[in-house]
Amino acid sequence: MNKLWQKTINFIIAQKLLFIIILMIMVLSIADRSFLTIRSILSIFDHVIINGVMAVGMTILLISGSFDLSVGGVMAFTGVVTFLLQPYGLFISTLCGLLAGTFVGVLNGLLVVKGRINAFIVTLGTMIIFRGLGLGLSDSTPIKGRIPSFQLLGRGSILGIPNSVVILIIIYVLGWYVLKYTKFGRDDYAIGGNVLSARLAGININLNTFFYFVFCSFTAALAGLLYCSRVNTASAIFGPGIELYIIAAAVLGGTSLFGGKGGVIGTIQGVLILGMLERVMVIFNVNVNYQTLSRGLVILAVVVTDALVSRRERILLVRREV
Amino acid sequence: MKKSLLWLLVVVVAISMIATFSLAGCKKEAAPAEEEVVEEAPAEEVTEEEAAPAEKITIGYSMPFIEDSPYCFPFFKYLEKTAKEMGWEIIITDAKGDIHTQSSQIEDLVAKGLDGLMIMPTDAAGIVSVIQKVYKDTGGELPIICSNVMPDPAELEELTAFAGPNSYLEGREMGKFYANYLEEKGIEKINMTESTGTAGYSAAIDRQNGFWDQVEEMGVTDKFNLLDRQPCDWSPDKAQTQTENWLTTFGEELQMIYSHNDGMGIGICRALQDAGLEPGQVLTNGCDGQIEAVTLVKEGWMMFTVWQSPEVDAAIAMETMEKILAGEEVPYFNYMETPIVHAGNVDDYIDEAERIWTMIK
Repeated sequence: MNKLWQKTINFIIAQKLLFIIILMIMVLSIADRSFLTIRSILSIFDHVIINGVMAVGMTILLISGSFDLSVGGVMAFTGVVTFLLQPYGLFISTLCGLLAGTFVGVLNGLLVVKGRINAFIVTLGTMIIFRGLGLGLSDSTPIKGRIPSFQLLGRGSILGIPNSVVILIIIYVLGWYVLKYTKFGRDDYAIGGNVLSARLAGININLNTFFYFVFCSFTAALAGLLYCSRVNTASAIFGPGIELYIIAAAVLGGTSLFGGKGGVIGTIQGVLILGMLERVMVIFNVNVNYQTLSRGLVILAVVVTDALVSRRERILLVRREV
Repeated sequence: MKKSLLWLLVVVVAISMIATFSLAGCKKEAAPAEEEVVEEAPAEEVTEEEAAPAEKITIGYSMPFIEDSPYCFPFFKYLEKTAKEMGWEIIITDAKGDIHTQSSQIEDLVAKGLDGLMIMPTDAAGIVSVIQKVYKDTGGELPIICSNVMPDPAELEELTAFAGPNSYLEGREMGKFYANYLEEKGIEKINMTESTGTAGYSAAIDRQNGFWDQVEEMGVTDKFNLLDRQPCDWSPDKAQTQTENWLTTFGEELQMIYSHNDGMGIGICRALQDAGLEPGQVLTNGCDGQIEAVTLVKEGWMMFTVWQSPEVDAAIAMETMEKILAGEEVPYFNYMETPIVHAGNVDDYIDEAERIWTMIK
């Protein structure tokens, strides 16, 4: 009996984010009877899609112990390039936008790996450069979409499931698979856990880190396409401050800022919690003046419980070993 | 062992709380059903007029930002005040300057169930597909109003009405005022700079285009020699620094600074004062009608400002929505008046400005 309890409790501790989500769903469905409708549930994904797609790349990069502040800039830049090239056709413009965004990752990766410059400083620089380049290219005005079918990417749906949700699921399954079953993914944890031993184990740290940066920018570029497709407009000022929100979501999901720990399953839960929090604000009509405070408090509360719980986990681990 | 007991306790308490909540919820759900049954019998006696006010009207208002803008904050306060006076429940969301956040928040509002939706777009073009989606999802039954900022294109089939100022017209009025002034004084050419609002925001684009379109229409484009144009992001501090730079670069050459709002106009005046210039030596303006700006107009530092009261702006949005909900026909464009406050009429406005902008603080 005692062991069963212990197991249940351990399970709850391990899956605490899941329980927070369930708790939130319960409270919301009680407070608002229309919450548990398909339309209402799907509209929560509105908050999740853009942030969620970007958070996969960010999580993988954070696990390796690196950092990318330029994702917001990449997102906006991708949109600007795509919409500027739309006169040349849907395929060319979308591809060029995606490549342009991913190129920022190549630049970030080279500067960090070859230039041996701190990732924080490099990406802070590229963030400003590519937002600025976007402003310059777009003449500081929003660009309206010319191809209506481009909107299908973010607004269309197959069999009632929005395309963007399908993309989100694909990218999460991909992220999860890569991290769990490929060498590329497992090396990620090794590098983030201890660079020295990773190097001694024969992992090509430079090459891996480079690709983590490229992948991070790729997801940001993909998010940029989704973003612009959903509003059918591109502007260099889209997504102000989104990079910190993404990092917060990843950390909320249990990814360590110091590397070596985390995963995309936690990240999607973190993104979902932050997204549902927005619904909480609306349903309980939280005064706008206190909304930012509430967001901050929730993030802090989860992170603090996380710290307390992981301390407990360590104690349990020690006990078991004894 | 003690610790695991503690955890157990927490879980039990949490579960029991959920249980109570859900029971309470069930009761709530069950209760109105019973009432309905009871009420149905004598319902014939209750006239519709008496029954109607019992249902509280819920309105959603999606704002682009609040604290970051000196205009939006008082606007938000007056919105809350007007809703309270009307006895409406108003849910206000803050998109923090991001169109996608705004789009998601609008989805949240609509999912909650509203009687009417009001939007102040973060991005004039980007909001269009959001409005179209809401229209489609609600089958066109939910009245949607754009307030303060017009969508681009301005006339949308899916939008019920627009209420607020006409930023483009404000730009034109400002251009006209400057052009007339030059005409009056017989000035053939003036060297000017332009301090624009945050790059990409529609009020900035409208006030810029309005000004230059008007000047072109009057055939006096040649009179305005644009030396430089810089975004100062609606901010007094940025405009002040920028003006200091301009004074260093252009010196005596600089005769006029066209500003897109009061905040930047105030910053420009500060820089001019610090540089030891006389009022009116470099012409400048504001737009919004803040108390500081109106005072500067009175002192002669600013040539004029545009009177755009957040109180009237919030009220016109709410009034338009009230008419729509009452089933009245409303015109598509519901403009508020935006007169120009200049040296000639500043005394009529100064007390009103004092009242509007100090009540908030």
